[in-house]
Amino acid sequence: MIEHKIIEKQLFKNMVFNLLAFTLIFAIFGTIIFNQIRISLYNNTDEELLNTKQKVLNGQIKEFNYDDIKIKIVEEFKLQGIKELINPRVIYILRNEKGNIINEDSIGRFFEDYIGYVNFNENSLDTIFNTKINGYNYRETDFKIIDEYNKTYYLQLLINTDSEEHIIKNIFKILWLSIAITVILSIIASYILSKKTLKPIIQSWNKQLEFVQNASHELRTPLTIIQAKQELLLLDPNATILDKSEDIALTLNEVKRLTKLTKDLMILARADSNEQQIKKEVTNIDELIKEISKPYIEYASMQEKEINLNLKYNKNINVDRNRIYQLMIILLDNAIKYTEKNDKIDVVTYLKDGKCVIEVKDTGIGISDIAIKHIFERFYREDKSRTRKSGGTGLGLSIADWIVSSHNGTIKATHNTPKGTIFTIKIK
Amino acid sequence: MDKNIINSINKKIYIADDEPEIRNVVKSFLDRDGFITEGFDSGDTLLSEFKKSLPDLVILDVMMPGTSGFAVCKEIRKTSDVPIIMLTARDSDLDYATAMSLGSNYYFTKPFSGLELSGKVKDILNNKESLNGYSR
Repeated sequence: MIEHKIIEKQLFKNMVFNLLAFTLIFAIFGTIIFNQIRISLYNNTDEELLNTKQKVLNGQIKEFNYDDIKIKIVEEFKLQGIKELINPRVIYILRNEKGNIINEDSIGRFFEDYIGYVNFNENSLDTIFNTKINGYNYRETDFKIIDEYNKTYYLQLLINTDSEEHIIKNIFKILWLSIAITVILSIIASYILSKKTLKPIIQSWNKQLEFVQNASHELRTPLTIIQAKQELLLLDPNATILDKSEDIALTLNEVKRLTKLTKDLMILARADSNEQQIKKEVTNIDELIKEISKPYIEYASMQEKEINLNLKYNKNINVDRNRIYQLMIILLDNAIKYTEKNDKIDVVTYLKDGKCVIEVKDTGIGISDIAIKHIFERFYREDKSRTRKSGGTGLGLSIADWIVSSHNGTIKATHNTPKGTIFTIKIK
Repeated sequence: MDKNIINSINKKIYIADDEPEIRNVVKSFLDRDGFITEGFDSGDTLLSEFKKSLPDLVILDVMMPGTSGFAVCKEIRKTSDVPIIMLTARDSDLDYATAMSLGSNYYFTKPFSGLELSGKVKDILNNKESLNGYSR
C-alpha cells in the first residue's frame, strides 16, 4: 500500500533522526567528559611545572653551579624547614644559549640514556606541551634564564606523564565503547520510540483515509443514481413528466441527500480542524428541549407514535444552544425513524452527581449488540437500505457525539427493555 | 434487427451492490436491452446463487458489507472465467490494478454512465476477446 510505504519511510526518517540526535548528544557528552578528565589530569602536572618555573624565576631555586651543574635549595628555605622545594617528579635540563645540555651529570644516571632524545625548540618557550622521549610521555615547559653575568640559559622542565596517559587512554577506550554501546541501544530505542510516536499518527491517518473513502463513496452513490436516472429520461423522449414522476422524485431525493451529506461533512470537517466554535450561554435546558420537541410531538402523533416529555433538571446550564438544538434534532429524528406505529419515545432530563442527564428512550426496533458498539462511528450503518429510505447520511450520531464531547460530556447508547434504544447524555 | 438485442436474449447478468438504488438503475438499463438481470444486496448472496446457476456476466460493487467485491471476484475466478465488471467509488490506480489482477474484465468508477455500462456489457458479450479496460 502506498500509504504504508509513506509511513515506513517516515518511520525510517524518524529513526535516523533519533539515532543522529542520540549519537550527537552522547558524542558531545563523551567529548566533554573526556576533555574534562584530561584537563584535570594534566592540570596537576602543569601546576607542578609552573610552580617549579615560578620558584626558579623567583630565585627560590637558584645557585646553578654551572661548573658541576647542581640545582641547590635556597638556604633560607632550608632554615625554615621546608624540605620539598624541589619537586622530585621534575627533571631539569639546563641548556646554554646555543642549546647544548650543560647539566648532564645532575640529571642522573637513569636519564642519561634518554638525554640524546630530548628535543629543544626555542619557539616553544613559555608554553606547556606534551612530548615523547624514547617512547615515554612527558609534559614539558621551557623558559629562558639570564644570570647575574647577563648570560642566557634555557631550562627545560619535564614531568613523566605515562600514568596520566595510561589513564587517559583507558578512559578514551571506555568512552568509545560506551558510545558504541549507546549508539546500538539508541538504534533500538529510536526504533521503538519512532514506532510509538507514529502509532497515533498511523491510526489517525487510517481513520482519515477511511473517512475520505467513505465520504467519496457516499457522495458518488447519489451522483450515480442522478446520472443514471437522467440518462433514462433521455432514452424515453416521448414520455410525459407524469410518466416519469417517480424517477424525477427519486432524483430530487438524491439531490436532497447530497445536500445534507455535504452539510454534515462540513460540520465534521470543521469539528476535526477545531474551526467549529462552541458559544456557551446560560440556558434552561428543560425549556429548550420543550421548544425543540414541540414540532416532533405533532409529527409523531401524525404517525401514531407518542413523544412524552419528563423534564426534571429544572436548572440553568452553560451550553451552546444551537448545538444542543442540533443534538436533540438528531436524536429525535433518529427515534422517529426507528420506531413504528404505537411506539413511544420518552425524553427525560434530571440531575445526577452534579451533571445534567438527558435521555431519549424509544420502544422502536432497537440496535443489534454489534451495531451498538459502532453507532457513533462515521458512516457506520447497520442496514444501508433502511438508512437510505429514512434519508440518513450515516453521520448524524457522529455529529451528536462531537457536540456532546465539545461540551465535555458523554453520550452512550444502550438497549431499552423490552425493546428499543436509550441514548443517555451527561453534561456538567 | 439490432445485433446487440439479438445477443442479449437469454443472457443472464448478476448484479451485486448493497445500494438498492444503484442496483435498480443498473437493472433498468440492462432490462431495457433485453438482458435477464438478477440483483443481490451482498457478495455472499451472489456467490451462493452463482454456485447454483451460472450467469453470462457479473457486475460487482467493490465496497460491500461482508464479502467485498474484490473477494467475490477472486472466488468466482477459482471456478469460472465469466466476464466480470467492477463498479466502485474507489478510483485510485491501486484499486484499478487490484481489480485487474484479481481477474475482473472491466472497471467502472462511480458516478458512471448507465448507457456506457450497458454498451460495455453488450461489447463484452459480443466479443469476449476485447474485454479488459476501465472507465473513470
